[in-house]
Amino acid sequence: MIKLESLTLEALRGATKSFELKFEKNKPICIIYGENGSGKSTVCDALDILANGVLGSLLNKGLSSTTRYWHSTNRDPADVQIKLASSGETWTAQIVRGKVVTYPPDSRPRVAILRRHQIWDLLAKPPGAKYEALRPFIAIEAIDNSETTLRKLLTSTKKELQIAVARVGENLIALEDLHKQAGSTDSSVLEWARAEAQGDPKHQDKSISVIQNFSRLQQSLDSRLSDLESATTKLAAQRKVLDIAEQELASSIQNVSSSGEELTRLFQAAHQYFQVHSEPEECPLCESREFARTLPSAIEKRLQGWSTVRTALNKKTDAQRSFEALSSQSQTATRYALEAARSLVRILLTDWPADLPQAGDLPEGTRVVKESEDGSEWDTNDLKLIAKAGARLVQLLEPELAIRIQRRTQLQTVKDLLEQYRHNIQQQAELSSLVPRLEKTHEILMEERRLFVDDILNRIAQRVGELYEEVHPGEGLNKISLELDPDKRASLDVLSQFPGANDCPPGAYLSESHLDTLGVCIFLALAELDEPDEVILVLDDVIASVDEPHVDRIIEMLYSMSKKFAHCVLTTHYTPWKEKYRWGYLKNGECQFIELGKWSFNEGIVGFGTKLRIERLREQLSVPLPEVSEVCATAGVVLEALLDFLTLTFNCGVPRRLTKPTIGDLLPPIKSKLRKALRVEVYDPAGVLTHEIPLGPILDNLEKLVQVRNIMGAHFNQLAFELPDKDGLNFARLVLELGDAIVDDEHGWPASDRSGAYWTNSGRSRRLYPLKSPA
Amino acid sequence: MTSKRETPAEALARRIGDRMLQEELLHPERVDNFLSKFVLGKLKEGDWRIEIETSVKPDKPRKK
Repeated sequence: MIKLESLTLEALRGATKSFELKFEKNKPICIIYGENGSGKSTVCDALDILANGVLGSLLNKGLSSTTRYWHSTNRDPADVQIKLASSGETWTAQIVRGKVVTYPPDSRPRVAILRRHQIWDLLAKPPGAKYEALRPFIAIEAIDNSETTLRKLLTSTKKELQIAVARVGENLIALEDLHKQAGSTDSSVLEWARAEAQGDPKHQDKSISVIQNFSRLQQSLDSRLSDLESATTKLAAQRKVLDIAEQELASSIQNVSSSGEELTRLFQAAHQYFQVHSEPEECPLCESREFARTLPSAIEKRLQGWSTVRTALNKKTDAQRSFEALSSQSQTATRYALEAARSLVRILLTDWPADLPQAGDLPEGTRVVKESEDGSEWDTNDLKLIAKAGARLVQLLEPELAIRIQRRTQLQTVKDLLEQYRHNIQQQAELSSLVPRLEKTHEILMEERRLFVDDILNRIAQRVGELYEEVHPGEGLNKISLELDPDKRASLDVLSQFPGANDCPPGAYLSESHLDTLGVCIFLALAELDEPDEVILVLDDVIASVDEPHVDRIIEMLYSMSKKFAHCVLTTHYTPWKEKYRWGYLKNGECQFIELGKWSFNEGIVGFGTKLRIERLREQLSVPLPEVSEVCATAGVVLEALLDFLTLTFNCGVPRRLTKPTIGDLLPPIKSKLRKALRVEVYDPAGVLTHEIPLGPILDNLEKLVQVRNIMGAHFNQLAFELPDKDGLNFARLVLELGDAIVDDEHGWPASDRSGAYWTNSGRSRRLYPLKSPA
Repeated sequence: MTSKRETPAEALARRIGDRMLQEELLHPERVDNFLSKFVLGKLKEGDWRIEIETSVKPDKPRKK
């Protein structure tokens, strides 16, 4: 069995400074005592993080994400470090990006932790919450998580199936509507739809395309004819303008000379020449030098005389140019119109579907199409006839186009709907097959989980009763049943038998203390199921409300149970635990007791061992100059405890008072006969008797010095000034001698009479005689 | 102190896996893969669906 050596906390919650908890060897129980807020739960949290990756003390506190609160407020999350060293292995945990990272990565210590709030969740909440409280201890949360995802899948798949069924219905309704619209009555909807879907939409597409193309070409022809008509009109008008210009020119020339036109042109050329050569030496034509200098001015004068002719000539030239341009435009317009007409006729002759109205049926078009297929012999009138026929045909085609578009749309709709119907039917079939398989799987999961958990609960129910009986013997409440509700998921009933009432929830009749005990018993029974020798048992402040004498029994039970576990860590703020330890009432040899001091931000968690009272007395006496009053005070308290034990053990007649009995009340009732018989045998760990201590002489000597305690160690008393210190020290040494004789640091007080011959302690290291006071 | 033997979750997962195999809700060749995710609580909805769908044996061809 691996044993823990140390636990180190760095920057975790209250550990503002590094805190190390060293586990003592051969002490399977470590009790950590401290007031609230001293850091007890932080120690448990450290083990929880290492083992389970969670910080349990922050759970159920309404925090959505707790990792941000794990580190000490003066440190960063990255500073958090937890280290648990054992005889076999060392584990560490850190927080990296909000997640716990442990090392070694594939190994974690096994830690079972019970916290106080879990007891109430387990016993005093509704059945659903009870199961939730129990779940971490059964350790099948991963299976529960997988079951949750399966349940979600089942729900979503059922919805998918519903949607698929609804869609199939919608598809059928839509197809039925189309079926009715189509007026088909001789076949079922699906047969009709399948037949419809066989139809080729391309056929409709071609007719639609031909009609739309024909209509476009017909519009084009109209437009071209309009252009041609405009060009022809303009050309005719320009012809008239040109004729007028020609007449005006002829008339002006006639007025000047018969050859005026040529002369004017000659003079214009000469004038241009003399613009460059303004001072000629000779006539450029006849090379005569006579009048050569005056030639430019002479030509200027002659030209002015020809201006009317020149104006008329310019006008005629402009008119001629415009006529030629319009003539060209007219030819182009004619060519375009012919081409448009040819395109229109070509459709009619080559691509025209047979089911469309034919151009041949039209009187205007018959001749044109039949006689002039290539259009080479067409004149404008022919083109107009073609356009008129085309326009008429377009009118006839309009309803045909609408019918075909509607038909095309319907065909595509049927095709699409049928495709959707087939897809949805297939999906419906697949989901109809999947849903029952998912249901069956979910059923198996729930059934097996319930059987598994029931088996665990049945196995522990009797054990819970046994453990409970150890703490509350003879109370008749040991018939505990833990039952899962078969009709509800994750619902647990905890029932108990009470006198006169069977199967009652414990919360109905049990006190808080009893419920605490029961919760601890359930937890312990669960924890010991699963190889407890590998488990660190942690009880975080769970037995605060347990009262006397049950606290002794529950401590006894915990001692007994702790032997089964690798280690047992108990935290408590319950003061009697501390006092019992100090007086050696606990089995101190098996138990390590650590007291946590008051937490402070600067010091963090502070822990120290707790001294036994007798050890404290020994310590006080061991210094060179003991403080007598303090020594006597401690010795007095120890003596009171020792005498209380002896008078109770031997039924001595102690006088009754309202106040606690004093030494003066406790010592005299131990009569001389008993004193003579009182002796202690001391045994070593091997069970060998080492020596025997008679108690009578010690008690007799103490009786002589008992007043010393009252004078020197109880109150301020001037009489103490008169007494020598050695009297006080002798008193204290006698008390220590008596304490060492009766109490063993490791094994406590001789409180068991099971031997039938003497009283002894848990380790049988002391035997106190006699068993009973002599008569 | 570390767990090397079958944990409660592993034991329960194995029992459930066996039942699913018996009921032909899990393909024999996918058992290990399924259990490794199942026992860690890492089975998503999609994983469950794949496991259940792939568990179905394809229809045998009909004899003519």
